[in-house]
This record gives sequence, C-alpha cells and structure tokens, in this order.
Amino acid sequence: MGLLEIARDFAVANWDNAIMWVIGGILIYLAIKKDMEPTLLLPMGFGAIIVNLPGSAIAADGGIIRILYDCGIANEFFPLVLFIGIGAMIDFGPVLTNPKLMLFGAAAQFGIFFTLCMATLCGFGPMESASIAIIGAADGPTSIVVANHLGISANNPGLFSAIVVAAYSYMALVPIIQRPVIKLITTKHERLIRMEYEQRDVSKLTRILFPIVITFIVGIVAPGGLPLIACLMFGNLLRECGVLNALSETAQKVLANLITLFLGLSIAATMSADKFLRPQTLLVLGLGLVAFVFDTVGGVFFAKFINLFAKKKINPMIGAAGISAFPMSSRVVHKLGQEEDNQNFLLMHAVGANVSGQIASVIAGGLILSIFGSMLG
Amino acid sequence: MMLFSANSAVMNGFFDFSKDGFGFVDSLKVMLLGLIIIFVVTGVLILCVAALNKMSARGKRSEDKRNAGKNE
Repeated sequence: MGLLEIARDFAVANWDNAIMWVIGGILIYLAIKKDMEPTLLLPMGFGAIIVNLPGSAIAADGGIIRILYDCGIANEFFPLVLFIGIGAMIDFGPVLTNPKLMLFGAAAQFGIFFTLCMATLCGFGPMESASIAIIGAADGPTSIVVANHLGISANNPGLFSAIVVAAYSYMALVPIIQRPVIKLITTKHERLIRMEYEQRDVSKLTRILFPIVITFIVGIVAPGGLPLIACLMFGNLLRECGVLNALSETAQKVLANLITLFLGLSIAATMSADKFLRPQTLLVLGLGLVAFVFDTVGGVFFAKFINLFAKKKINPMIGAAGISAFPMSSRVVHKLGQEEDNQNFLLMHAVGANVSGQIASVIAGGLILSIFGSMLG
Repeated sequence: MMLFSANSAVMNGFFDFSKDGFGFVDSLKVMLLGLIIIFVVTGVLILCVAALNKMSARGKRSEDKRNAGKNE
C-alpha cells in the first residue's frame, strides 16, 4: 500500500471513527483497570478499534472478524456452545435443596417485560423492543441468540452491538446497580430478617434427572428457547453424571474460554461507527439499565408479597438475587445482609435464587422467541 | 403439545399479535402472558424437583432399612 493511499485513507476517516476508537479504549480500560467482564469487554474493545481503522477491511467480506461473525454469531453457534460450558459450571444444589427459591428467579424476570413496554413506548418496533428487553435476562448468550433470531443482527447491526455491549456491561455493574435499588425499596427491618439455612443432601439421581426434566418441560412450553435450555442443561448433565469428568472440565474451562475469545472479537463486526453511533445506542443503554433495575424491583417486591402470607418471613433482598447475573448478585445480597447484621448468612439462599434466575432467564428468552418469532412468519 | 406452547396462545383472540401495529397495549399483553407462563412453568418445575427429592428420600430410606436388616 503506497503512502498516497495511506494518506487518502486517513483523510477519509472522520470523527465517527475516532469516537469508536475512544469507545474501544474505554471498554479496554474498564476490562483491565476495573476488572469489568474482561473476558468480553477487552476483545470487544480491541475489535471496535480495529474495525474502525481507516481502510480496514477486517469486518468486510473475507476479513477475519467477518468470518468469525458468520461462523459463530450469525448462526448462533458461539452463544449456544458457550451455554454448554456455563451449564457445566453451575451447581444447582442450592436450588434443589430449596426449590421454592425458583419463584424468585421467575419474579426477577419482570424487568424484561417492563422494558419491552418501555421500548415500545419509545417508538421501537416489536422485534427491536423484544431484543432490547432481553438485556434484562442479564445473560449474554441469551441476548445474542434472541436478538439474532429476531433479525436484529442482520437488519440493524448497530442496535445488535449496542444490546450486547449493554448486556455484558450491566452484568459487570450489577454490584453498583443493585445496591442502591435494594436499599431504596427495602426497610432496615426487612434487611435484618434472618434466614436459617438447612444443609440437605441432594441425591445423585435428582441431580441427573433435573437437567433432563427441565429441558423436557421448557422445550414443550417454549420451543423457541429449546436450543438455549438444551445446551445449558446438557452442560449441567455432563457435570452431574459423574462419568464424564474430562468432558465437564473441558466444557468449563477450555471450551468456555475459547468460545468467549472468539465471541468478543466477532461482536466487533457490528461495531462500525456508521452503525453503532446513533441516538438509538444511548436509548438502548438507558433501557438496558431500566431492565436491570426493574428485575431487582420485581424480585424484591415478589418476596415482600410472599411475606404477607408466609409464617417464616423471607428477607426480601433474596428476591433481588433472582437476576441471572451469577454469582455477583448473590454476593451483593449476602454483603448487604452482613452489613446490617453480621450474624445473618444469606449466601446460600441468595445463590439458590441466583442459579434459578439462570433457568428463568432462559425460559423468558424462549418465550420472547416463541411469541415474537411467530410474528416474523 | 402445541396446546401448551406459547405459540398457540399467540394465535387466538386476545393474544393475537401481528408485527404491524404492535403497540404499547400489545406489549402489556405480552407482559401478562409472559409472566403468567413463567410462573406456571416455574411452579411445575418446583413440583417436579419436590417429587424427585421425595423419590430419592424414599429410596434412601429403603436402602437404610435393608442395610440395617443385613447388619442384624
């Protein structure tokens, strides 16, 4: 490439590209300095820079980022295979010990549907609104699969990348988002409610049958979500069966890390300045925050509702742990409980609600896919 | 099986959504439908887990009885 061509390319680069370099730099800074979801924000940040360099064909047809995108995002391969690794990492023991905690996982998906209504009010179409709302699932792969399936990655790639950036950024910001919201909507008296934890053994048979039963039921009710729930539960079955420890280890470590590496870079294919820098991006970031806030509100208020009838009171903060951001949300709730009363150990209850949120978020994603996917025709 | 899936509810009457003209009221209906289904499915899952736990507990008690019988 001659000097003249290089100079011409730099002249063509405009402020939009420079802004994307800054945004990429900010994502890298947040990943390294603030330790915010570094596995994804760092490759996304780096990808945002290289995709927006003048004359860059790296995200064009035949470029490596485009190849990764077509191989793994456009066909949902990366997020679904990542879910196998995530399923292999999750221990559903706390929720199997106390299955009623699954209700808090369900309640904490309220933010998804609330955000759907808000996005519609903001003027987004149904597919866009549903894709933005699924940020409230607090789960990257679910957000990617739903948004891709509803055609957003193909028809509005800027919106798609904004959704993914919002989903992963807010997951990392859960400790900052949830703390003030929980404190605002609960009283000191409520935060002081103690919950005793009874250690109960869960049989191996239960642990093996659980992923199979979940897949069966969710697959029937929300067939759109079958790929998500099947991959998650297959990973969990690898973990719990006891005879595939090598595969379980591979899924948890090598597979999950490899796919995460490619996922972050391939998202950058949709982060070109002309597609990403639009007013809708700011709106998506705002609505994503609304989704996380109202997930927390939904879970806490459901716990308060249960307390109207329950003899043994539940600490309403447990409801906030029903969001799918594992394990940060359960740690936030446990810490808040310890700040009020250092003899109150909420961790196992919070972990139970937190892992059940993973299941509920996939159910919610499947429902969104089933309802809105049928509108695509 | 389609009777129990979210798709069939969408097709009929109140929950008949279309891409064109999907508005705020429709999104409220989706919220209602979605939350109802999530809670119903969660309820079914809770019952399944409770049944699995009970089945395991029964199996363990039988095994303990057999072992106690052998030791005597």
